[in-house]
Amino acid sequence: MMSTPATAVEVSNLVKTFDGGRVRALDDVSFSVPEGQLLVIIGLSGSGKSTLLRHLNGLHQPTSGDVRVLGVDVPASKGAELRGLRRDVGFVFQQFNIVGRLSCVENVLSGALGRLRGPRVGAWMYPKAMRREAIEQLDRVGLADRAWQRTDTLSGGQQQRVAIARTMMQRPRIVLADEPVASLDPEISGQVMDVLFRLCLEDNITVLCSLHQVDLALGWANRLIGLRDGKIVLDTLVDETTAHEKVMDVYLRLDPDGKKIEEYQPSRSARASAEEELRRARRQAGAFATGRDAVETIDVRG
Amino acid sequence: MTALSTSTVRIDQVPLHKPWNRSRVTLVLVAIGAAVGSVWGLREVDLSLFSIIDGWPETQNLLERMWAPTIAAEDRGFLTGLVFDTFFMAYAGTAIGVLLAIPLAFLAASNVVPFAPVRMLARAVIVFTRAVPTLVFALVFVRVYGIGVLPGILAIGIHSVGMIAKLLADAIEDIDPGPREGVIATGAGRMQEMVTGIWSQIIPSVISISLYRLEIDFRGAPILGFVGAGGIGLAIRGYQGNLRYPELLGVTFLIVVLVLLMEMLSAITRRAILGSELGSASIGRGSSSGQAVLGVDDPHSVAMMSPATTGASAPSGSSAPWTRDRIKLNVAGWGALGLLVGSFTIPDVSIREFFTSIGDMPNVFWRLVPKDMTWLTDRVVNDLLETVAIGFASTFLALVVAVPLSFFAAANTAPSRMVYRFTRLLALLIRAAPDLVIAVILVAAIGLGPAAGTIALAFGMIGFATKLLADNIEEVPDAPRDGVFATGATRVQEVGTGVTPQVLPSMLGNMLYLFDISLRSSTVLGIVGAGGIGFLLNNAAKTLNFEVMGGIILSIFVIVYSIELLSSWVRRQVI
Ligand SMILES: Nc1ncnc2c1ncn2[C@@H]1O[C@H](COP(=O)(O)OP(=O)(O)OP(=O)(O)O)[C@@H](O)[C@H]1O
Ligand SMILES: [Mg+2]
Repeated sequence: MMSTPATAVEVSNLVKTFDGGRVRALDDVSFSVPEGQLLVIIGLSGSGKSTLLRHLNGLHQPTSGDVRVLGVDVPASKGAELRGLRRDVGFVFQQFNIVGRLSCVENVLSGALGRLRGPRVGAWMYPKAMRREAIEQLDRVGLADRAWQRTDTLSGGQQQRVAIARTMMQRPRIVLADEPVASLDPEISGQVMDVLFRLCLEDNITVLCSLHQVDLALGWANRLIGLRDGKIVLDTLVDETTAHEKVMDVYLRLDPDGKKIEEYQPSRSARASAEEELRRARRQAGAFATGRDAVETIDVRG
Repeated sequence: MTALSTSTVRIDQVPLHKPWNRSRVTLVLVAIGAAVGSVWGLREVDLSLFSIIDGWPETQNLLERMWAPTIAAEDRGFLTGLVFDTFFMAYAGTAIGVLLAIPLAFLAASNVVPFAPVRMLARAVIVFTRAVPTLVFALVFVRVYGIGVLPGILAIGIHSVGMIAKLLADAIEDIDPGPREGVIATGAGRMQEMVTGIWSQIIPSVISISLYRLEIDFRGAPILGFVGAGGIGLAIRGYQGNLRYPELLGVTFLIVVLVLLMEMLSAITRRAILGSELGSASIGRGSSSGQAVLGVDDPHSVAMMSPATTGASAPSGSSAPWTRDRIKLNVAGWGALGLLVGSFTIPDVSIREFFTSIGDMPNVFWRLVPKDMTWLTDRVVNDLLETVAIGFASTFLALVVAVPLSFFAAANTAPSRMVYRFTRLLALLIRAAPDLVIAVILVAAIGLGPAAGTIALAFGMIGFATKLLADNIEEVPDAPRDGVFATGATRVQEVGTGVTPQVLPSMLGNMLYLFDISLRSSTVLGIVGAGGIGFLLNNAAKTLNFEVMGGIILSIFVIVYSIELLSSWVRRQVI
């Protein structure tokens, strides 16, 4: 991208089909994410959210189109280069994907594997400094007192917090989160999203997170992207004035029955100014605590 | 985020080392025990890398004398007869095992027999027949009933009873607990009704367990001839005695082919019978080779079919419609009966003799009971120790190869499809050669003694171990691995952190099971001069010294059973 702020993610004309072209999971998707943005992707089930996120760390190969993450051409990279990219791009899964039989510390430690050579089976195989670091990360998610407990003895919300600590242990520059709270109840969901976004803000990490809950999205996101049938149908910056109803309305219109929606064309100038604003907002200490500055909202055409 | 500041400890209070808990302590103890046992075992059987290298020229020399394997033209008719004998011996043995096991299983099930002493007696029979190897029973029966197929059938039958009855009793205990209260309160009429009710629910279990047992007995039957119990093993013994090595190797290959064929046959049968909805929840993940089941000692790995599935499709009355499953069941039933008739006509076993021998069985067992302790000589103690040493050493050697190999033989960890296929095939081929046959060859190569037996056992076990452990690895869920993978870990790291901890408990269970098996096998190696207690057992059999045989069998039982108890305790601690 030509703009001055570093671009974390740049996706252009991404198409992904499954089953020999019968399923079009992503249909000409283009967008770019500046570093430090907290982006939430919403969309109904099957709209392509997971597929999109999985392209960003090379878990899927695009059918056509470009995917650049942190300057790396993802589809073209493999082996050590791709692993290097994955180290910089944390992934938070809906089902946590932690190793239940291991203790919390050991799960968090596995986030540091990319910094080490060779396999590690237990905590004793990691350097002491790393174990200390892992415990600190657990403390950040409020689980230091559970450090050596078997992870599968924790509640779902706690397990996801362990997974977040593991991701932070990677020291990533981007975090991808695929419906990280979809299997948790609403109250716990709020807590877990708070932890995720707070830590990412503290460490200045770019976030791309898919969510079902618009409320949660509005609480933290700087930007919302809506997907429907593999197309971007909504791309809007978020501020405190972005009314819940309005987004809900948009969300409802993501429904296939909302026939009025047409393809969305992002307005480059609007986004550029919004990004400018964002950067300024972040420079003000503790951007999240003071609240984000007002940014312009982009409408869905139609 | 406020709700999260509940952590009460300060970070510097959190220990940097994993605290010790029960399961970790057990694991370390097991590891130490295994290491000490292996080192002791390897020293005891006098096996080191040097002795293997030193022995290599002689082995090579022997292999050259053996090459090329042949089937002597004049022996063809004789061998064909033995092949048929082997097949029917295994079949009839399993059939008898099943028939005897069914009532035994009912007697051993707590929801059928509320009466504890009866149950315990039944369980004791089960435990004993399971612990004593088929070949040992064969040794005894050959002395009583003479050389031939009959002692082989009986030996297979008696040994099979234990395992079948155990699995079946567990299946019975697993079904609907509803009728239990009824039995306690009511008389025989009600009891009969209940047994009938249970029977209709466990038919699929009976079928799947029988098929599984049949596979094992097909594998075991070729070696029974070593002690004179009929079948192709007789030929091996003959050629060994006459030093006809090319023919010996030829028959070895014949046995390998035979075992593979039987395995395919049972895989096909399994799929035909259990592939229907009748067996939709059936045992094991039948691989292409049809070796479906994990630890025999773990009835839950031989997952029984749920009563729900079976209740619907089991033939329950005379008016039941002729569904596909019912037709299949009938075909299978009549086929099984036909084969059984064949078993008694083709190898020429007299039915009358058979039934007399069955009736005579208590008498035989009574003769085996030692009336004093004179059988327990220093030599017996010494050889028993050697048996355990062979067990340790061979398990260790087999695992050293099989553990790494199993990661190549598991579809989800193999570096490529090719490697996976190749390793699986290798494991299958190695498995098909009976360890006792390998022992015969090795004894010829490096001389009598436990070293030959240890290598033979270890070699034979590599195939089985690789398969078992690879199956364990394939069961590991993918999600945690993906989690590790996404952090940018290498594939080796991903397996180390995402697979190993998950597979550890089941692998440990199977390693203990493998130790169990090798211990059982090591008790009979001595029959071909490959070390262990089998030598004295064979001698006692030759001199018709029944009480010494009985004493040795009893001590085999004690050792095998205590190892089994120990391993089930370990499993409970770790899982
Ligand atoms: N591996 C695959 N093979 C075939 N089709 C797939 C595959 N993965 C995804 N799809 C299809 O692609 C489409 C988008 O799926 P995707 O999982 O990305 O949706 P999603 O927005 O994440 O849905 P959810 O909210 O349910 O997670 C769906 O139609 C899905 O069936
Ligand atoms: Mg999804």
